[in-house]
Amino acid sequence: MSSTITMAVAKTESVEILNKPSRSLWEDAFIRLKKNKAAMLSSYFILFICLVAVFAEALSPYPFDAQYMDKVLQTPTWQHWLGTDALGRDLFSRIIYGARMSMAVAIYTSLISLVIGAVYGAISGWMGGQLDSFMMRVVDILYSIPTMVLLILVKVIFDAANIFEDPERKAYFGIVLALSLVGWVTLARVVRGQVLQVKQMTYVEAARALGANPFWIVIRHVMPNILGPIVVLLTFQIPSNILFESFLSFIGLGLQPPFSSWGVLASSGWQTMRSFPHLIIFPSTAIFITMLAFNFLGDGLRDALDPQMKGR
Amino acid sequence: MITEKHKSIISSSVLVALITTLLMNFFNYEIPTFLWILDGVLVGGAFVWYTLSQNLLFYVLKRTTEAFFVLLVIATLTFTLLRVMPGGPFDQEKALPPEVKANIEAKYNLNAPILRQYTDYIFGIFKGDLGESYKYLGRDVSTIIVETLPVSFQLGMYALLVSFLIGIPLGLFAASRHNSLWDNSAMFMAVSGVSLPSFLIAPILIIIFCFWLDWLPPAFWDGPEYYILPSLILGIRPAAVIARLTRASVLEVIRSDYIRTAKAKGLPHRVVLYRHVLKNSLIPVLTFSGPLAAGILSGSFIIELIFAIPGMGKHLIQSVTNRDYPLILGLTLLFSAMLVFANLIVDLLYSYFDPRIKLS
Repeated sequence: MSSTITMAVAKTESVEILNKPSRSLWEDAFIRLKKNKAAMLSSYFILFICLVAVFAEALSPYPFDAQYMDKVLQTPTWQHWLGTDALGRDLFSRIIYGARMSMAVAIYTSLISLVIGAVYGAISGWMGGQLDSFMMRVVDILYSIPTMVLLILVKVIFDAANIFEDPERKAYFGIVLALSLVGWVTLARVVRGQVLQVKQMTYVEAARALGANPFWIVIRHVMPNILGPIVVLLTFQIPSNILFESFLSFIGLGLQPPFSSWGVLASSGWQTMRSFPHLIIFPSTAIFITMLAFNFLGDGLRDALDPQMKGR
Repeated sequence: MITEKHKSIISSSVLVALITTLLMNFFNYEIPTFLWILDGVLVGGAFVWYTLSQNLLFYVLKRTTEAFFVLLVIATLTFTLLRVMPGGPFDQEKALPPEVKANIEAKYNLNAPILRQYTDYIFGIFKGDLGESYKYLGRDVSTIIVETLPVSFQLGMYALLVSFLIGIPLGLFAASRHNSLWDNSAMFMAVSGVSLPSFLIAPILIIIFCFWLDWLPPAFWDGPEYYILPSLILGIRPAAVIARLTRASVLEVIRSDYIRTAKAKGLPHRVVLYRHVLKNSLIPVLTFSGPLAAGILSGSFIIELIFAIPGMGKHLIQSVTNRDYPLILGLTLLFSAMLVFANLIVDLLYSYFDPRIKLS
């Protein structure tokens, strides 16, 4: 008697499960991500920073390069919320404009290195054989140069090449190029590894057997299936690019004032650190919070897209 | 045949000797020559003995040759790129008289055909001659490296020690209290540590410890009290990464069968944690420590700049602004060589501590 009841219960339960609408991998991941409070909070914060960066003109109370010589080196006041720097420029406005520059550099470089890395990794993984081992040798060699050194080297060579006359564009493109050329290597490795895995799958074999064009197979079947790890990696690339940009600007090899990026602000704040610590604390806190948000979002995305990795 | 007992004797004696040296170095004691010799003999002896006893000689030779070719390619690439670029380091706003320019070019071997310059440079490397700096007149790149490498190396070693001493216990602590408030706050600290730029933490610590409390000096590199802040700040980021790695790996090891067996035998929690779990979960940390060591050494220049430490970092930055090509080339090669050999050593250590790994 009792066994029939449990059977009946089990039956209704399984019916319930079956009646649930089917969800795709991405919907599933999104539902899991929504449960992660830290990641959701971080994504709202990142959205907020992006909006600030886009509407910098409207949001900043003063122009970023306007100098108020009667108000040099002020600590925070009601007029200048975060104080002013050595040339009387409003720090709050400069941090808002700095958000635009830092975020733009980080996002562009991550996207460029994604494109290069994905194409390179996909070709290497898909073609295999001699070409693959040659292409991976190249990657290994680039990997043997420490990141910071490679970054500096690319920057030196770009600066020597003198493509742009305008010093602003030169600095901007130099840093974007250097960071992308350094960043693609990791992406290429990951994409290749993923492509090698997916290549073995039966659906790829089926597509091949049906005579699909290899290019089409990679775009239509391989790429969507390896998107998860790539998205996660991209989320981690952005904060590290923010950090590298600010490192380079800090040592004077990146952007220069009157340009405003968080690294530039930290670098100039450093010179007056002892008497006016707010000039370095505020911009570097902006870097810290933004990187924190990206790292939490990255962790959340990884847990959501690959639940087996949860808690790792 | 190597047994576990041999291994633990060897590893602990090497570790004790190295840590003694590091500590004496930290407290500015004159390190006696016999200790250096002992270190050398222990490390070298362990290396040679392990290589020979495991038939790894061929493997080590293969890896060394590979490393050599990688470095050759890097040297060739950087040399070519720096030479092909228009605008030499001696192009100033005011053009030099042709005789002066010719003299300078003759001094730095810039008037020879490019292929000749290249072969001269490569053969020079084998003789330990990396050329003469363009900026520091009369000083060889090798001399500059010999003068500044020890300081950077010292800083890097302390930072590495700090990152292990903070990272591993933190990771173990978090994993042993999995999904508790302690675990979450430890991991929050680790994520913050990864996101913390050194130019945020450095000013804060300098203001607190140097200006308010007046406990530590804010700059230079003259004694134990000078070493603390830079090593700590340089070690924070790697410590955070190591904490996360350790936690992940401990959580995986804890689920394995041999841990369940150990627990079923009735071993106390402590013994299981330290003897079985920790030992096995440190292997991923070990793999990470090769790139980490090279990264710390080549990434210390921000700290060197902030604390005015006379290491290689200053030269790396200045060589770029000065377009001091021989110095850039030399430092690139040096850093790459460190990374390549750190990886080789880590691979050997890896197979030493985990016999399941077969090198070939």
